[in-house]
Amino acid sequence: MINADLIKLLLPVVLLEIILMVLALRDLVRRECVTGGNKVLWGIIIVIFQVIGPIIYFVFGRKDTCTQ
Amino acid sequence: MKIKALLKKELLEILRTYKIYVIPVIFLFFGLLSPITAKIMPDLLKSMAGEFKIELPPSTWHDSYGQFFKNLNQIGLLAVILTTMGTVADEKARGTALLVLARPISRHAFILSKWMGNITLLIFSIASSYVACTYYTYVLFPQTNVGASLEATLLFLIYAVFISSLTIFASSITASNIGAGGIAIAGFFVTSILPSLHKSFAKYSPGALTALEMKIINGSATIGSASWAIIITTILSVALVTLGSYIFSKQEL
Repeated sequence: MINADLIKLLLPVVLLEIILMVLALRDLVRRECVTGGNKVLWGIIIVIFQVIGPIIYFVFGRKDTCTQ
Repeated sequence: MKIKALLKKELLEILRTYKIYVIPVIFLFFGLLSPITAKIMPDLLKSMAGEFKIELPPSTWHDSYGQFFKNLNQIGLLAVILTTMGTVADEKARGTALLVLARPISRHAFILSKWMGNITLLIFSIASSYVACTYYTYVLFPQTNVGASLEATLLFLIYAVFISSLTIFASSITASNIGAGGIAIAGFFVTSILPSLHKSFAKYSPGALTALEMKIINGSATIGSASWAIIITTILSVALVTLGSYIFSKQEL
């Protein structure tokens, strides 16, 4: 049953993953400070963990102000 | 500024922040993925069994919605808690709540507008994921029962509104979003295990709705048998938000 039709149906799912990833990465690039201070680490988390990674970033990674 | 203006501000805020992406995208994601997972599950299990020959019946539309509700009830609701926990607590921490409330606005209206804004987003997300799941189920499986799946989705919506209300309650009474998240997740955990503790909880508590969703899909229960759980869950949701706004109105900002 794992055939071409099923892969076609998976396309929108992959598209959603990519949209979420791009939105998270765009936010990451524009942001000055993130939780923990390591933007590269957040980038890796967003890319590696599909769907979950961007959400974790949106909820925990974003910081409005830089406090040292 | 009346409640309508406040609600508008709240909806605008949802549009401007990440919330507009996260909840609808997650729900839509599971709406699309669940029917596909259900379809390939027998083949997947067979290939994992390897040498052992196992016979599995091909999956049906019941499995498709089974996956759908399982995913939404776990990861979906967890995402709702994570994105809602800061609703009031963040505004308190940043001091923006003070700015809004400096105008002649009651604190009850403030909480109420947040609640309504979040529920609007939730209804939109659940509706779109239901449409996606139903379409994929229709494409992948020979049979579907739109009536039953719609009823089950309604039960899920009522449960999701309850979890959202619980989170807004937690956000109103605490000073940090992490604290609010902790309370909400603890509450979520308790509501999900209550039905297994006593028969009356299994029938009347909010957690009963989760089991009833699947029973309605399988045809072993009707929406009528869920009426008490629906009424009690709705009352609890309203009570939580009312209590939350009452405690919030007594707080020093």
